[in-house]
Amino acid sequence: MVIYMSDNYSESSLWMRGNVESLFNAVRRVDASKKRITSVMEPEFYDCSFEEKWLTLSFEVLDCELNPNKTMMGGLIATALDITYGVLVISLTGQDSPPTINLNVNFVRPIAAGDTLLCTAKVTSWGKKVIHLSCEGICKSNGKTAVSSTAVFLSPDQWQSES
Amino acid sequence: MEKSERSAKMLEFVRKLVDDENVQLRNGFSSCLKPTVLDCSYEDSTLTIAYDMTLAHTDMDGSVAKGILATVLDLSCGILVTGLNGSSYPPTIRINANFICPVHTGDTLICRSYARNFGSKTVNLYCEAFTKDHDGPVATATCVFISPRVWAS
Repeated sequence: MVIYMSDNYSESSLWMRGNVESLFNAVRRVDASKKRITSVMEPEFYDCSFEEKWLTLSFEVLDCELNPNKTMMGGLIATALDITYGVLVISLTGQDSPPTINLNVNFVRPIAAGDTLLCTAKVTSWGKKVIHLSCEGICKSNGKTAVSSTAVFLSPDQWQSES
Repeated sequence: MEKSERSAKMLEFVRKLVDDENVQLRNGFSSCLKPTVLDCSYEDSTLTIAYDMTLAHTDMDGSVAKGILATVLDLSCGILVTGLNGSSYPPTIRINANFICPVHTGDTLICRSYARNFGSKTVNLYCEAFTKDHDGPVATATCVFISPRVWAS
């Protein structure tokens, strides 16, 4: 079940949510056969706030994402976090995402097959050169923290001036 | 230089481990990374693995997703821990990855992992990834794993 906070959305948050949905529609159009990792993981919009600069995406744990212990592979958890960070930056700016410079992931609990990982990414600081972000991933089945993370992205302005 | 007996045994064990995992998880994502073990040293606690980057590993911008780079760095360290201890694959507690330059489809990523400290509770490792087009590393990571002894108990 996907729960949206639709009645609480401000105009800016609606614009942000629109950016996320446009992005996901573009990804589905370009990669309809699901060849790329960003499509294979099937991220879905869950919730967001433009004012507080956070975004939650949900990732259902698929069979192809399991490790030999039958829990979600750590690397793919890191991928889900990186996708969430990227989508947050895109949704706040309406522009392409600048690259990740650093990703720091702490694995707290395993995520079992069939569960859903809810990743909430938040902007910690938005500088001229770099953006600092943090993210928490929780298991939807029990609400417990499964993973915590911080990341550094190049700021969109810096990235455009470099490229 | 000729390999020591322990390093030769470790190389054989790690190659079998990777092959077994590819068979066991033939529908899983880790098998689509297709790691190829190139070299290892038991004495120096190092392991070198190659990964061919394909379209499946890319972001929408066409470069390899940073999460996938984190995955191969994590996997390389995990295989090293397993190879040194000769046991099952222990879980990662923490990974801190730095992405230096983009990696593209068709690139072969060479990951060298080093075990810096093999403690009784945790194992601390460092990993560097290289491509042939770039002089220095394209990504680096430090990882902490639960010690296989603790994990097994």
